[in-house]
Amino acid sequence: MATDRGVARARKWLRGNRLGDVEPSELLVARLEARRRGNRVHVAAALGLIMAMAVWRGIDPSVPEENTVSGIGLSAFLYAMVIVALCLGWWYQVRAERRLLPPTRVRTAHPAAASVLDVLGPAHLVAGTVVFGGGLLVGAAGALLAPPPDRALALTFLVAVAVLAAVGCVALVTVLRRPTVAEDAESILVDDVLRAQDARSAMVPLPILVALATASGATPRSWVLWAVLAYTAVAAACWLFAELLAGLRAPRGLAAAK
Amino acid sequence: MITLDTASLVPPYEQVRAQIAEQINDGTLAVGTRLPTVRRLAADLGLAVNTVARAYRELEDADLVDTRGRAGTFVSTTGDRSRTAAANAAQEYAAVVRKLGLARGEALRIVTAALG
Repeated sequence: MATDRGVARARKWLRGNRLGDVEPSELLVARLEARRRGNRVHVAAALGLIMAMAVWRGIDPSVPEENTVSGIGLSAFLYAMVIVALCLGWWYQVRAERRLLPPTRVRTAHPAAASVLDVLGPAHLVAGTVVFGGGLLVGAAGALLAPPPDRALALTFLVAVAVLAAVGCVALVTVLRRPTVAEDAESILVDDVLRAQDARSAMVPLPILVALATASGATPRSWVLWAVLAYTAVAAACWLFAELLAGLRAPRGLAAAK
Repeated sequence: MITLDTASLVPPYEQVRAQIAEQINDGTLAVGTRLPTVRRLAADLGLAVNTVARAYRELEDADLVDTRGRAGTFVSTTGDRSRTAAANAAQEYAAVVRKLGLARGEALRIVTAALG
């Protein structure tokens, strides 16, 4: 049974997603509650992982002193931990949402397969390609062509972006394959919006933050520094543009996206 | 949108088949549209994989969809040909009805009964 507070939260979420004319269903209230709990699991897991690493680094004297390369590696590792924690939160959320379905007498689904483009939208797909693909390209160019002081830095950046891209891809595939949780036309639209939000969360542009850490350690006035800064500016601009566009557009179902 | 009513007397595979066929015939699902995988649709609707597979098989037998191996199942380009074939069959039936001298209402009732 949906509580008044749950219904109020659902109304707020619907208004925030330009779905103010949709009446909050019990299914949506329960889903948003499952998401809130999933977020708590995510935050707790992220804090736990980061604290465990902090304790490990404090105890283990063999860990070298902080330098630029290990600093970038560490920051990338931290971001990867955040994504792993995010996946744990999702895992919890998906399990909770699956439990909501058996009592529903009517189930709905899209009759057409949805692609990554349909779910993410063209702007986020381009932004994601620029953030991850561009990062890999800049990292690979630096690792192959830069002089020795910057080569290790670029190689670390490359590995960090590759790890973040791999984790992001796994999270994105998980979101795309999640079964639809809907019982009518309105709840299937809500499900599409939730899926699109989850897909964008899976592609958090963390490589931009790693690039900033890399730029701070690069040799001043070297081409690696300028390449990383240019990448950061272009990737951040693309992502911001995609976010702005997503905020301006009214939500639409995946069937309408075709 | 495909809606499955678990309390309905119509078997689940028939509900899935009929709705996809209707959407192909009325153009909601355009020629070349890729249908969800059998597993995906089964998971979405809470059905067994075999149930959805049977619905897809019957759609394929009716030439409404094409299964292209691992690429997936697509709305067939023969959908229009199917409609032409149905129209031709109707013309033949109308000719037989006229030849037998049956009343229009009775002829329609026979068709309705045959459609089930």
